[in-house]
Amino acid sequence: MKNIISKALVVLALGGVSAFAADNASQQLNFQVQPFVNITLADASLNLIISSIPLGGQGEATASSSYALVNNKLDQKITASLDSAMPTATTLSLTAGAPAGATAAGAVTLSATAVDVASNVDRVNESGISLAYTFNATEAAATDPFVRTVTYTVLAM
Amino acid sequence: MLRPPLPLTLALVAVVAATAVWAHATPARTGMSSDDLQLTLSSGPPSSGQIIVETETRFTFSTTSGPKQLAAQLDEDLPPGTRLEVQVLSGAMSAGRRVLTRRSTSLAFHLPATEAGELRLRYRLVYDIHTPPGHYARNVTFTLLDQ
Repeated sequence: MKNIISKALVVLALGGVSAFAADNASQQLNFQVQPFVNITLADASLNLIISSIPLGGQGEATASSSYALVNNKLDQKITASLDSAMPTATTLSLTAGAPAGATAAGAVTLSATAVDVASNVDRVNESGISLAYTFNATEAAATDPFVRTVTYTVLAM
Repeated sequence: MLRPPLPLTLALVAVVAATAVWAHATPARTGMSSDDLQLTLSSGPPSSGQIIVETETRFTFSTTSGPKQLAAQLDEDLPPGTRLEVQVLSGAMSAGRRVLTRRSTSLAFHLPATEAGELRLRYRLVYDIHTPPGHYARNVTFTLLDQ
Protein backbone atom coordinates (compact mmCIF):
# COMPACT_ATOMS: atom_id res chain seq x y z
CA MET A 1 0.00 0.00 0.00
CA LYS A 2 2.81 2.33 0.89
CA ASN A 3 4.48 1.55 -2.46
CA ILE A 4 1.28 2.25 -4.38
CA ILE A 5 0.85 5.60 -2.66
CA SER A 6 4.48 6.55 -3.30
CA LYS A 7 4.13 5.80 -7.01
CA ALA A 8 0.93 7.82 -7.18
CA LEU A 9 2.74 10.83 -5.69
CA VAL A 10 5.52 10.48 -8.26
CA VAL A 11 3.05 10.35 -11.15
CA LEU A 12 1.26 13.47 -9.94
CA ALA A 13 4.55 15.31 -9.57
CA LEU A 14 5.56 14.51 -13.14
CA GLY A 15 2.12 15.47 -14.43
CA GLY A 16 2.49 18.87 -12.77
CA VAL A 17 5.65 19.62 -14.77
CA SER A 18 4.13 20.29 -18.17
CA ALA A 19 5.99 22.02 -21.03
CA PHE A 20 4.25 25.40 -21.68
CA ALA A 21 4.31 26.62 -25.26
CA ALA A 22 6.05 29.92 -25.90
CA ASP A 23 3.86 32.99 -26.19
CA ASN A 24 5.78 34.21 -29.22
CA ALA A 25 6.75 32.99 -32.66
CA SER A 26 9.27 34.24 -35.19
CA GLN A 27 9.47 34.32 -38.95
CA GLN A 28 12.47 35.14 -41.07
CA LEU A 29 11.69 37.32 -44.06
CA ASN A 30 14.10 37.13 -46.97
CA PHE A 31 13.98 39.70 -49.72
CA GLN A 32 16.22 40.81 -52.52
CA VAL A 33 16.59 44.21 -54.09
CA GLN A 34 17.81 43.87 -57.63
CA PRO A 35 20.00 46.52 -59.26
CA PHE A 36 18.07 48.33 -61.95
CA VAL A 37 18.30 51.27 -64.31
CA ASN A 38 15.70 52.52 -66.73
CA ILE A 39 16.20 55.47 -69.06
CA THR A 40 13.34 56.60 -71.25
CA LEU A 41 13.12 59.34 -73.85
CA ALA A 42 10.18 61.71 -74.07
CA ASP A 43 10.23 61.77 -77.89
CA ALA A 44 10.73 58.81 -80.19
CA SER A 45 11.77 61.05 -83.09
CA LEU A 46 12.69 64.67 -83.75
CA ASN A 47 13.03 66.67 -86.96
CA LEU A 48 15.90 69.06 -87.56
CA ILE A 49 15.49 70.95 -90.83
CA ILE A 50 17.94 73.55 -92.08
CA SER A 51 16.06 75.80 -94.48
CA SER A 52 18.87 78.17 -95.43
CA ILE A 53 22.65 78.37 -95.27
CA PRO A 54 24.39 81.76 -95.33
CA LEU A 55 27.14 82.18 -97.86
CA GLY A 56 30.41 81.01 -96.39
CA GLY A 57 28.70 80.01 -93.20
CA GLN A 58 26.62 77.16 -91.87
CA GLY A 59 22.98 76.64 -91.34
CA GLU A 60 21.56 75.55 -88.03
CA ALA A 61 18.48 73.78 -86.71
CA THR A 62 17.66 72.92 -83.11
CA ALA A 63 15.27 70.62 -81.29
CA SER A 64 14.58 69.96 -77.63
CA SER A 65 13.43 66.93 -75.76
CA SER A 66 13.94 65.28 -72.39
CA TYR A 67 14.62 61.98 -70.71
CA ALA A 68 13.70 60.22 -67.48
CA LEU A 69 16.00 58.08 -65.38
CA VAL A 70 15.26 55.55 -62.63
CA ASN A 71 18.45 54.12 -61.16
CA ASN A 72 19.39 52.50 -57.85
CA LYS A 73 23.09 52.01 -58.52
CA LEU A 74 25.96 54.26 -57.55
CA ASP A 75 28.65 55.86 -59.74
CA GLN A 76 27.01 55.58 -63.12
CA LYS A 77 27.46 57.65 -66.27
CA ILE A 78 25.34 58.27 -69.33
CA THR A 79 26.78 58.07 -72.84
CA ALA A 80 25.32 58.87 -76.24
CA SER A 81 26.27 57.56 -79.68
CA LEU A 82 24.95 57.50 -83.24
CA ASP A 83 24.22 54.38 -85.26
CA SER A 84 26.51 55.71 -88.01
CA ALA A 85 28.66 58.73 -88.78
CA MET A 86 27.08 62.02 -89.88
CA PRO A 87 27.22 62.84 -93.59
CA THR A 88 29.94 65.07 -94.94
CA ALA A 89 29.74 68.74 -93.96
CA THR A 90 27.20 68.13 -91.22
CA THR A 91 27.48 67.85 -87.46
CA LEU A 92 25.06 66.97 -84.69
CA SER A 93 25.78 68.15 -81.18
CA LEU A 94 23.98 67.48 -77.93
CA THR A 95 23.72 69.35 -74.65
CA ALA A 96 22.19 67.00 -72.10
CA GLY A 97 21.08 67.92 -68.64
CA ALA A 98 22.14 65.71 -65.72
CA PRO A 99 20.02 64.21 -62.96
CA ALA A 100 20.16 65.80 -59.53
CA GLY A 101 23.58 65.39 -57.99
CA ALA A 102 25.22 64.33 -61.26
CA THR A 103 27.56 66.26 -63.54
CA ALA A 104 26.61 67.34 -67.06
CA ALA A 105 29.31 67.22 -69.72
CA GLY A 106 27.99 70.26 -71.59
CA ALA A 107 27.82 70.39 -75.37
CA VAL A 108 29.30 67.32 -77.10
CA THR A 109 29.56 66.35 -80.75
CA LEU A 110 27.79 63.08 -81.51
CA SER A 111 29.37 60.34 -83.60
CA ALA A 112 29.39 56.57 -83.88
CA THR A 113 31.73 56.52 -80.87
CA ALA A 114 30.02 56.82 -77.50
CA VAL A 115 30.69 60.05 -75.64
CA ASP A 116 29.92 60.90 -72.01
CA VAL A 117 27.01 63.29 -71.56
CA ALA A 118 26.59 62.97 -67.75
CA SER A 119 28.67 61.46 -64.97
CA ASN A 120 28.54 60.82 -61.19
CA VAL A 121 25.00 59.57 -61.50
CA ASP A 122 23.78 57.96 -58.28
CA ARG A 123 20.40 56.67 -57.07
CA VAL A 124 17.80 58.81 -58.75
CA ASN A 125 14.21 58.80 -59.91
CA GLU A 126 13.79 61.87 -62.10
CA SER A 127 12.04 62.89 -65.28
CA GLY A 128 12.09 65.90 -67.57
CA ILE A 129 15.88 66.07 -67.80
CA SER A 130 16.69 68.27 -70.79
CA LEU A 131 18.12 67.25 -74.15
CA ALA A 132 19.03 69.94 -76.67
CA TYR A 133 20.15 68.98 -80.20
CA THR A 134 21.91 71.29 -82.66
CA PHE A 135 22.27 70.30 -86.30
CA ASN A 136 24.74 72.25 -88.42
CA ALA A 137 25.51 71.97 -92.12
CA THR A 138 27.64 73.94 -94.59
CA GLU A 139 26.79 74.59 -98.22
CA ALA A 140 28.82 71.47 -99.10
CA ALA A 141 26.34 69.21 -97.40
CA ALA A 142 24.00 67.10 -99.49
CA THR A 143 20.36 68.12 -99.45
CA ASP A 144 18.88 64.64 -99.24
CA PRO A 145 17.16 63.97 -95.91
CA PHE A 146 18.75 61.36 -93.68
CA VAL A 147 18.06 59.65 -90.38
CA ARG A 148 20.31 58.99 -87.43
CA THR A 149 19.47 57.11 -84.24
CA VAL A 150 20.88 58.32 -80.95
CA THR A 151 21.43 55.65 -78.33
CA TYR A 152 21.76 56.55 -74.65
CA THR A 153 23.47 54.10 -72.34
CA VAL A 154 23.78 54.07 -68.55
CA LEU A 155 26.83 52.22 -67.30
CA ALA A 156 29.31 52.14 -64.47
CA MET A 157 31.95 54.85 -64.43
CA MET B 1 -15.29 1.63 12.66
CA LEU B 2 -12.41 0.77 10.51
CA ARG B 3 -9.82 3.54 10.49
CA PRO B 4 -6.83 3.46 8.15
CA PRO B 5 -3.46 3.36 9.77
CA LEU B 6 -1.89 6.76 10.47
CA PRO B 7 0.89 6.61 7.77
CA LEU B 8 -1.74 5.94 5.07
CA THR B 9 -3.83 8.87 6.28
CA LEU B 10 -0.87 11.21 6.08
CA ALA B 11 0.00 9.94 2.59
CA LEU B 12 -3.52 10.55 1.35
CA VAL B 13 -3.54 14.07 2.77
CA ALA B 14 -0.20 14.75 1.10
CA VAL B 15 -1.56 13.57 -2.25
CA VAL B 16 -4.61 15.78 -1.99
CA ALA B 17 -2.53 18.76 -0.87
CA ALA B 18 0.00 18.29 -3.66
CA THR B 19 -2.77 18.07 -6.22
CA ALA B 20 -4.39 21.24 -4.90
CA VAL B 21 -1.11 23.15 -4.95
CA TRP B 22 -0.30 21.95 -8.47
CA ALA B 23 -3.71 22.99 -9.81
CA HIS B 24 -3.44 26.45 -8.26
CA ALA B 25 0.12 27.08 -9.48
CA THR B 26 -0.55 26.23 -13.17
CA PRO B 27 -0.32 29.52 -15.11
CA ALA B 28 -2.43 30.37 -18.16
CA ARG B 29 -0.97 28.57 -21.16
CA THR B 30 -0.33 30.45 -24.38
CA GLY B 31 1.32 29.32 -27.57
CA MET B 32 1.92 30.46 -31.10
CA SER B 33 3.36 28.74 -34.10
CA SER B 34 3.60 29.15 -37.82
CA ASP B 35 4.14 26.74 -40.66
CA ASP B 36 6.12 29.40 -42.52
CA LEU B 37 9.37 29.81 -40.63
CA GLN B 38 10.87 31.60 -43.61
CA LEU B 39 9.21 33.73 -46.21
CA THR B 40 10.75 35.08 -49.36
CA LEU B 41 9.49 38.25 -50.94
CA SER B 42 10.71 38.75 -54.45
CA SER B 43 9.89 40.78 -57.50
CA GLY B 44 11.43 41.55 -60.85
CA PRO B 45 13.12 44.78 -61.91
CA PRO B 46 10.71 47.66 -61.70
CA SER B 47 9.75 50.17 -64.33
CA SER B 48 9.01 52.81 -61.73
CA GLY B 49 10.92 53.93 -58.70
CA GLN B 50 8.96 52.07 -56.03
CA ILE B 51 8.45 48.35 -55.54
CA ILE B 52 5.66 46.87 -53.47
CA VAL B 53 5.71 43.16 -52.69
CA GLU B 54 2.98 41.42 -50.69
CA THR B 55 2.63 37.95 -49.24
CA GLU B 56 0.35 36.29 -46.72
CA THR B 57 1.12 33.97 -43.85
CA ARG B 58 -0.76 32.10 -41.17
CA PHE B 59 -0.24 31.61 -37.45
CA THR B 60 -2.02 29.30 -35.07
CA PHE B 61 -2.33 30.17 -31.43
CA SER B 62 -3.83 28.84 -28.25
CA THR B 63 -4.38 30.55 -24.95
CA THR B 64 -6.25 29.61 -21.83
CA SER B 65 -6.75 33.23 -20.84
CA GLY B 66 -8.07 36.07 -22.92
CA PRO B 67 -8.46 38.51 -24.34
CA LYS B 68 -4.93 38.87 -25.69
CA GLN B 69 -3.33 41.37 -28.02
CA LEU B 70 -0.81 40.56 -30.74
CA ALA B 71 2.38 42.59 -31.06
CA ALA B 72 5.31 42.32 -33.46
CA GLN B 73 8.78 43.75 -33.89
CA LEU B 74 11.87 43.42 -36.08
CA ASP B 75 15.25 42.18 -34.93
CA GLU B 76 17.08 45.01 -36.69
CA ASP B 77 16.43 48.10 -38.77
CA LEU B 78 15.53 47.81 -42.44
CA PRO B 79 17.85 49.17 -45.14
CA PRO B 80 17.33 52.81 -46.19
CA GLY B 81 14.34 53.44 -48.42
CA THR B 82 12.58 50.29 -47.20
CA ARG B 83 9.36 49.88 -45.25
CA LEU B 84 7.76 46.67 -43.98
CA GLU B 85 4.09 46.70 -43.08
CA VAL B 86 1.91 43.94 -41.68
CA GLN B 87 -1.84 43.67 -41.31
CA VAL B 88 -3.93 41.06 -39.54
CA LEU B 89 -6.60 39.93 -41.98
CA SER B 90 -8.62 37.58 -39.79
CA GLY B 91 -8.67 35.92 -36.41
CA ALA B 92 -8.75 39.02 -34.22
CA MET B 93 -9.66 42.69 -34.24
CA SER B 94 -7.04 44.15 -36.56
CA ALA B 95 -5.28 47.41 -35.79
CA GLY B 96 -4.97 47.95 -39.55
CA ARG B 97 -1.80 48.06 -41.58
CA ARG B 98 1.08 48.78 -39.24
CA VAL B 99 4.72 49.60 -39.98
CA LEU B 100 7.15 47.21 -38.32
CA THR B 101 10.22 48.54 -36.56
CA ARG B 102 12.51 47.36 -33.80
CA ARG B 103 9.94 48.67 -31.32
CA SER B 104 7.00 46.47 -30.46
CA THR B 105 3.86 47.41 -32.41
CA SER B 106 0.34 46.23 -31.66
CA LEU B 107 -1.26 44.48 -34.59
CA ALA B 108 -4.52 43.09 -33.21
CA PHE B 109 -6.69 42.98 -30.14
CA HIS B 110 -9.33 40.79 -28.54
CA LEU B 111 -7.70 37.50 -29.31
CA PRO B 112 -10.01 35.13 -27.48
CA ALA B 113 -9.14 32.28 -25.17
CA THR B 114 -9.10 29.27 -27.45
CA GLU B 115 -7.38 25.98 -28.02
CA ALA B 116 -7.12 26.44 -31.79
CA GLY B 117 -7.03 30.03 -32.96
CA GLU B 118 -5.81 31.08 -36.38
CA LEU B 119 -4.48 34.39 -37.57
CA ARG B 120 -4.02 35.37 -41.20
CA LEU B 121 -1.54 38.16 -41.81
CA ARG B 122 -0.34 40.03 -44.87
CA TYR B 123 3.17 41.44 -45.24
CA ARG B 124 3.74 44.44 -47.49
CA LEU B 125 7.33 45.30 -48.34
CA VAL B 126 7.93 48.67 -49.98
CA TYR B 127 11.32 49.79 -51.23
CA ASP B 128 12.60 52.35 -53.70
CA ILE B 129 15.76 53.50 -55.43
CA HIS B 130 17.38 54.39 -52.13
CA THR B 131 17.48 50.76 -51.04
CA PRO B 132 20.93 49.42 -51.95
CA PRO B 133 20.78 46.33 -54.15
CA GLY B 134 21.40 43.08 -52.27
CA HIS B 135 19.93 40.22 -50.28
CA TYR B 136 18.36 40.96 -46.92
CA ALA B 137 16.93 38.90 -44.07
CA ARG B 138 14.97 40.14 -41.08
CA ASN B 139 13.33 38.24 -38.24
CA VAL B 140 9.84 39.25 -37.17
CA THR B 141 8.84 38.22 -33.65
CA PHE B 142 5.14 38.02 -32.86
CA THR B 143 4.10 38.04 -29.20
CA LEU B 144 0.81 37.46 -27.43
CA LEU B 145 0.33 39.90 -24.58
CA ASP B 146 -2.32 40.40 -21.98
CA GLN B 147 -4.70 43.05 -23.17
